[in-house]
Amino acid sequence: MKIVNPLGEITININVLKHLVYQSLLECYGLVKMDDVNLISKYLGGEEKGIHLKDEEDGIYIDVYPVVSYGMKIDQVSLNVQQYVDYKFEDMLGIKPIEINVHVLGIKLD
Amino acid sequence: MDKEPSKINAEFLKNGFRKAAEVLVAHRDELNALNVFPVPDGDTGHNMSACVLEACKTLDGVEFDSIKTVSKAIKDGTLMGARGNSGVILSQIFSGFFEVVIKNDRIDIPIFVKAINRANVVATSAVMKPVKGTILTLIEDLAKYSEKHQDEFMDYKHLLEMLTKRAFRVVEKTREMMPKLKQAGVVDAGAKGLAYIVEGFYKYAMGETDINLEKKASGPEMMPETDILPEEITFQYCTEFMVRLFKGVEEKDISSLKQILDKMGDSMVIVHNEDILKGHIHTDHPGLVFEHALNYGDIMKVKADNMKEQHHEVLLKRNGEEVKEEQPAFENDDIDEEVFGGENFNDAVEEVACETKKYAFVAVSPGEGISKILKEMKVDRIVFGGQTMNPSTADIANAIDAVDAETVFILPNNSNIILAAETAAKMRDSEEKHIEVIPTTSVQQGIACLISYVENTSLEENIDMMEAAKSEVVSISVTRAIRDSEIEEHKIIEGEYLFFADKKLISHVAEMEDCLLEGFDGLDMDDYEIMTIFFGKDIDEETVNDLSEKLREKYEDMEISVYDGGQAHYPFYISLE
Repeated sequence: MKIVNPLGEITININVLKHLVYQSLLECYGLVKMDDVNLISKYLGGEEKGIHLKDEEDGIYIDVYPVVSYGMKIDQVSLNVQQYVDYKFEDMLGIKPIEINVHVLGIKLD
Repeated sequence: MDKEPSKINAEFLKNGFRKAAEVLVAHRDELNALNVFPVPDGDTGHNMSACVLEACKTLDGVEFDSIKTVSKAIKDGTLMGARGNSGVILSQIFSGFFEVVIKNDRIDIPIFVKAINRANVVATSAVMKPVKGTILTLIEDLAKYSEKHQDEFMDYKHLLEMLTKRAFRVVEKTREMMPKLKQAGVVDAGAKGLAYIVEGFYKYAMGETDINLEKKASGPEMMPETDILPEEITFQYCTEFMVRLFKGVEEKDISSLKQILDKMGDSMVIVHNEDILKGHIHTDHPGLVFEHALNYGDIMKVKADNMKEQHHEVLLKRNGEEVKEEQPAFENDDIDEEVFGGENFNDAVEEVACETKKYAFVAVSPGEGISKILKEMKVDRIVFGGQTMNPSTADIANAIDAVDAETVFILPNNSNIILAAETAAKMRDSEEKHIEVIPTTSVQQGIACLISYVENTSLEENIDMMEAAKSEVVSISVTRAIRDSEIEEHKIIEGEYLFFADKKLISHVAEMEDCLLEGFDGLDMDDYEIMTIFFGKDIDEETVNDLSEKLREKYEDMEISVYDGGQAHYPFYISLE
């Protein structure tokens, strides 16, 4: 991600953004873990698997693939995730992501 | 219940839960005002109330009360009603609790303790990294506490009492646990909500068995909330100017102007060609911007638009209201009278003229007409908000920031806003700027305070006078019941007009006119001399004129004046002095 101002430009590595999303997801209520559609990262991915960021010209697109705990209202949990990531992003970067898509990949029973 | 007082039965669960809902709903606005984590959007109270109220609905549908049916109803209801983070967590707490309860016919203390512990496990298992100082911290603490002291509880009343006390103590501690809460100087809203729920059960156990969920709902609070918040606008005036530069002004002079202006607001754009400079900035001090520009050339054109007002119009538009035409754009070639002589420009000049005043006022207004009246009465900043749209603490704090005075008085003008105002005051109070909240509970009181205020008097005297004025005026509000309910033994039918004098219901009749006349009959009209009527936006002027005629005939000795208040939901606000 690049921010240009009269003094020069600021670039933020995509991994930093990923980590930011990861930290926010940890604090989201209702998520038990992350999963991934990509088989390689599903089994080999580190702690930031299941978080996909696209740095397009018009802004950042975020896709997350969580597993939700059983017995929750899944739509609400997902909405909370969207709102929280959105808020955290703006809070720390001053920029809102363009899209935050939540793909619930599983439900975890106790 | 009395057969075996040391145990809890289905009836206790059902009504205790409803009592808890009542206590929670009663504190809804307080909780909203506290909400800073995780996203400071001021909806925790709403979310938690929605959750428990939904469960109350499912409870009403239960035909045969048994522990099983009641537990299931609460479990399902809270799950279905879960909204927002706090709602989801609350539903998990109940889910865990009743998972244990449902398996037993009667609940004794060990089972109760087990249920709380299960609630804790279920609720905390659903988050990867719990943050300290939230509702989860509270349930965890209660679980541990109840387990540790299990043998010391004499009966469930004692247990609930101890839990309530413990809960509020932990809530106080949340302030220190999370940096975000500490910064804002508040306790966690979700945790406090849970504490109120425990308190509700305790109250029921102590014999407060009358439950009135409708009490709050008789007003129009249940209406949808607006979703754009005024606080999104940081600087209030969209300011533009065009200057013919003096001879000899160089590039570096212009960059120094840029530097000065940049500190005064945001969204700054300055462009210039050989001798004309055009600037745009969002600021709170348009007058100062113009002054600075004057140092570099002759002003050709200026404009300052109040973005909060525009925002307000957007809100009205959404409600299907007609909005007055937009102000002429800057590009208009002829210099419009409105651009120069408009209200905004005057405001700007005023702000330059008296940079630091001794006293300034920030008032909350529920309608456009009332805003206008307040402005005429020298209120420096208006915060828009009313019964259904309580302004947030941040709105009020922003308004305080925008005025420059030694002492700022805040008039919340609504009992639900006093807390937010006090929080904002605490946040902004400093040596240079003293903030004083006059806890006015109605617009009428606010106006009475403004009338009694004297500019060249000491702070204490002014406060005394305002407090006195506040208590002298009788605030009457007339509204319509949006559902059947019961208030202080009066049975209210949906659609009836309700006449409140200082929050006390005087009359309720299907016809508005009868309601007013009957309401006034219920008061000692000989004691008052002045009647001021502010009519709402949902009522046409003809009706108002008819009514005021009738009132003038009936109360000949009284001085009656009528103003367009523009408030929503309340056809009339009336003050008697």
